[in-house]
Amino acid sequence: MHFVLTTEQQMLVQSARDYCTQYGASKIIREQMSGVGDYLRNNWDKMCQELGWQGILVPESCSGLELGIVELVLILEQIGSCLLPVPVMSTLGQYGMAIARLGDAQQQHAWLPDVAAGTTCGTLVWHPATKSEPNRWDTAVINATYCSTKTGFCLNGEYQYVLDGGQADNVVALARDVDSGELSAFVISLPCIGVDCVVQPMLDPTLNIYRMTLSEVMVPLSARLTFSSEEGIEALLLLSALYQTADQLGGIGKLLDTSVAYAQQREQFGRPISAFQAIQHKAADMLVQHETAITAVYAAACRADEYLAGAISLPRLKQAVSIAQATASEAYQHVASEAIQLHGAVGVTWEFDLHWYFKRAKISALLYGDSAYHYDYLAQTALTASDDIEGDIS
Amino acid sequence: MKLAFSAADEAFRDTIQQWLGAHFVGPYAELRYRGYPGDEDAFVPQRKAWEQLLAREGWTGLSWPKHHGGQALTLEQQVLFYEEYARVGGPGRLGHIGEGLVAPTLIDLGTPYHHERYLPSILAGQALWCQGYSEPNAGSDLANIQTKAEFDPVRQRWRLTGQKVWTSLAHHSDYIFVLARTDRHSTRHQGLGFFLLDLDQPNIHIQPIKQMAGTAEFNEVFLDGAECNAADIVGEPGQGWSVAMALLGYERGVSTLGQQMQFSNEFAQLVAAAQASKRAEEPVIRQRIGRLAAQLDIMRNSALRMLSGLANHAELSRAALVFKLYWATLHRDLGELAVDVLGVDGLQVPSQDEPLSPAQRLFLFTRADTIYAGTNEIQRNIIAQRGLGMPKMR
Repeated sequence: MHFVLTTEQQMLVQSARDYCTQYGASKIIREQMSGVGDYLRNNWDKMCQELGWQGILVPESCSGLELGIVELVLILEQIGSCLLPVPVMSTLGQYGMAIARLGDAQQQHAWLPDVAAGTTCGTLVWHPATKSEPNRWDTAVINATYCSTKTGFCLNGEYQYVLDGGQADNVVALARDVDSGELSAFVISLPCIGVDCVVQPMLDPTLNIYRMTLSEVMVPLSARLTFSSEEGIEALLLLSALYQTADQLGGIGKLLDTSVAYAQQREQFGRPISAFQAIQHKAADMLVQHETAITAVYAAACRADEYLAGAISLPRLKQAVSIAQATASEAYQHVASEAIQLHGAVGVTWEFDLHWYFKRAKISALLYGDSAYHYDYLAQTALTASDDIEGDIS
Repeated sequence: MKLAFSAADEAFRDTIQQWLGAHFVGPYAELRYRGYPGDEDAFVPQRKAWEQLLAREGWTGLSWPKHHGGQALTLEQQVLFYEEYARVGGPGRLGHIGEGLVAPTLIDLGTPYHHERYLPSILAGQALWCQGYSEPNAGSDLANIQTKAEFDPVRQRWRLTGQKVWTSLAHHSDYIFVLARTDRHSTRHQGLGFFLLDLDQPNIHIQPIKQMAGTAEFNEVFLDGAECNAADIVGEPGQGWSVAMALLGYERGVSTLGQQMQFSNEFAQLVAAAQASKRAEEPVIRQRIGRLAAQLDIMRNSALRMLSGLANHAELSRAALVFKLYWATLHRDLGELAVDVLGVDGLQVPSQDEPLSPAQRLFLFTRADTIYAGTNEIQRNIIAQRGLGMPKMR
């Protein structure tokens, strides 16, 4: 147990911060607003050349660095702090991770070296366009289908919330066997006949999200990731949710810093507004929210590495991710609204950056389940465990 | 960054579990979950005997260095002890203030006289200590202390006159440490001394303060010329404030962890009660259960983050600054939910003289948590000023 960053991890954070400060400054982000997607590959290429993070999760056997989820989370946190559009979450966390976890040796060698080389961008395609249970975020809602053909498989399905889908060279798509319902993951190289991908504009234009339709898409036998399983795929979804909390954490930290700096320099009644207790207590509560989110997100990242090493069970990981998701979502929303309030009238202008974060906070609080969804899961877990409790409080 | 304990530490956990399994039985079994705030007078002689057994078996002075008779356990080992102690429902520790606060202060800042005179009886679980800081006009504004200490050069004794208040467990204690003014013309943080007093003397009167739960953990302590030896001052006259603050620093260490770990038992019992009362089927109750489940996990992991950070940094980390505010507020919420899950039936009392139920105690006593040891409001001032560098208020 050593639940703080190592020296190496601090250095990683520093280089991520430097990179994001250089390329993620609000002016650059604003230029990209006309279409974030156009800039995505540019940012990716620059990042691959300057920092070499593309190999971070790829096994050493496939020319990667084989670092952990913790390291990816630290990078995503910095990316989230400046809303930098760069396909790290999608390419490394989702696409690369899916192949590393579910692919056999041959499949890993077929696709992962290109991730480690920075030449392939990819993403995970899983979220159905229509759900029978709107606020459910596990594998149970996946309703795309596949059936066997003479040479491979035929996929059909309508998806949405595909992160960076428009810039992906390859995707991993999740679908169920049309007869047995068995869940599998398939690698599809784009462009591909039958695959249609359109951008889905969102309230937060810094998010690069697509709808994707698969109509009679034919893939070879080798496209089905050999070790596909319900649990393995559930883990991928949990990891995706975890990545998002890292992004949220970065936003929270940035808003706290920005708000404190503003309160220290903005003067009213002849003194900086940070001298007023009403302001200090707001800022203190923002800091509490930030610290709470740090603990929850880093703990979940550690649990994820423990899970990938086979040390803990999937439900234990799910618990940690639910805690992180509920906590970081609420923290981000709280801090984003208080940041606006602390800035006063300029806080509601288009010119100040706060609204990007305010919008991101809300979308990321709903994607992968709102806090109510996760608290209910945590309550159910606690209730299930309560059968053998001794001691009576009544 | 690692949250999991090493194999060697897990082996130590087994050792602790085996010891507790073998010794927390027989006459001590009835102490399970007992003696926590609001229940402070339960089984006091038996709890003293239990602490002395812990002492004989080498489970006191866990953090103390070997040459003072301590165990010099690593941080990880100490955490594991408190965690396992709480898991089996070990009783509230009477000797905590002496062992966790006084002793580290004396070890760091005391003289060989202090070490010889006071440490052995603390280590043996024989001498119980209480804290003489607050006064009727020195609560949040602690520096407004009025108690006077005068040195009698003829008898070579200090004489202390004044009133201390909110003194936890003074009625069970043998000694008190007192912050008093050695320079009658001084104000605020200057001119204070830090004294060690034997409570068993005619010039000290202890008056219980009955609290809203009907019991009295807190006391008033009247010093009417109370005496101690010339050497029973820690640091020089005038240095009392810095000694007092050093002592409070240990409060943020590992020693208070046991009490917070115990919250998990209260929560588990609360959840079982919600299951039994069927209120766990209500969405709003489930949300509150889920939120507390998340917060307890975050509290535990934040403690580990804070403690890991303490080893690295001399300065208080932000994680340490927010900890008191976080656990106190959490515990208050726990107390509210404990009675809510039982419904109005849970508020019945057998008669006005009989002790309250654990849920009722928890509900009432936790109101004090957000007040003592720095109110939530003072905590927010400290966070804003020390954590965020905002201006001090006058």
